[in-house]
Amino acid sequence: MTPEEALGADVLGSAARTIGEMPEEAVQSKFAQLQQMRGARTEREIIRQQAEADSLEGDEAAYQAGLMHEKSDLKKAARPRSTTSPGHRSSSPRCSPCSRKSTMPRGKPTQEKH
Amino acid sequence: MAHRSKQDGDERGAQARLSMGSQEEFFTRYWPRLVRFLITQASNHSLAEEVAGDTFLKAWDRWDDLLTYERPDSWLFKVALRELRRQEAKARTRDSLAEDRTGNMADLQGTALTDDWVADNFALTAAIRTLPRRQAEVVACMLLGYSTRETAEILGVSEGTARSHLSRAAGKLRVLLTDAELPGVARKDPS
Repeated sequence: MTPEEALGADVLGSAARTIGEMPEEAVQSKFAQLQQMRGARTEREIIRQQAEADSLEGDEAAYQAGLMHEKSDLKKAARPRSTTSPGHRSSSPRCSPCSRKSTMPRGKPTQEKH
Repeated sequence: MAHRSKQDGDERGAQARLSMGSQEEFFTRYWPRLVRFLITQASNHSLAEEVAGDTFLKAWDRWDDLLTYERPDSWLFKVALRELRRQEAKARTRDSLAEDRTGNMADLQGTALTDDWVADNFALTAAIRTLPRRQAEVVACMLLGYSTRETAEILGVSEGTARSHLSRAAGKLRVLLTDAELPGVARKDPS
């Protein structure tokens, strides 16, 4: 969905078209100021900023790993393990072919205990 | 439509990588976008600018890594937004303040004096600030031209969640920008 589709062409359209426009001298002077700040940082400030960036990327990596783990487990949980007839699906690998009704909630990766 | 979004996304990725010819080119392309993105999210302009500056310093520190990224622009907005939220949380803990991005129109009026884009889009910026945090983030990403898929990637949520936030935000913004009065914002005369 584009901003125009979401809010109507006139509402966000012009704001979106001009968001990257800024007087060149303002951008240049900010760039120079930041480069100067960069050069003037102490060793401690550099390490602090690097650690902050690392920690943000670490958070992201942990989140992605969590998502991947969830996805792979869900797939595993949904995969047919033991079948007695076409289309039959046992919900747990331990429940050899469905001798009792499973109480395991659908889609949960945990194994049922007997 | 989905195909067009993917193509647009590929183009934006290519533009971002092209702008990485030098640190200055990358800065020139993304500084205005980043500052305005943060202005719609922060409760004050100086914090938005400080976070944007910090984010570029971090980007330059890991420039070699960024050169290998498919979407260095996504990295920039993602890192800036997380840093902004972290700083705001710190400030709230320090000052025991509740989250409030809505009432600070004086700050926005001050920003409008120095930033033409904010002045031209004052009502919209004010309206975005009144939205719940996630909805405001989704709208700001859309303002930058990102698709829902790219927005979801930047915010670390699923595409469905991003779409749902956008749909709610769109409904609220329509009301805010047409029927209701925002604090500190004069309504435009339709004639």
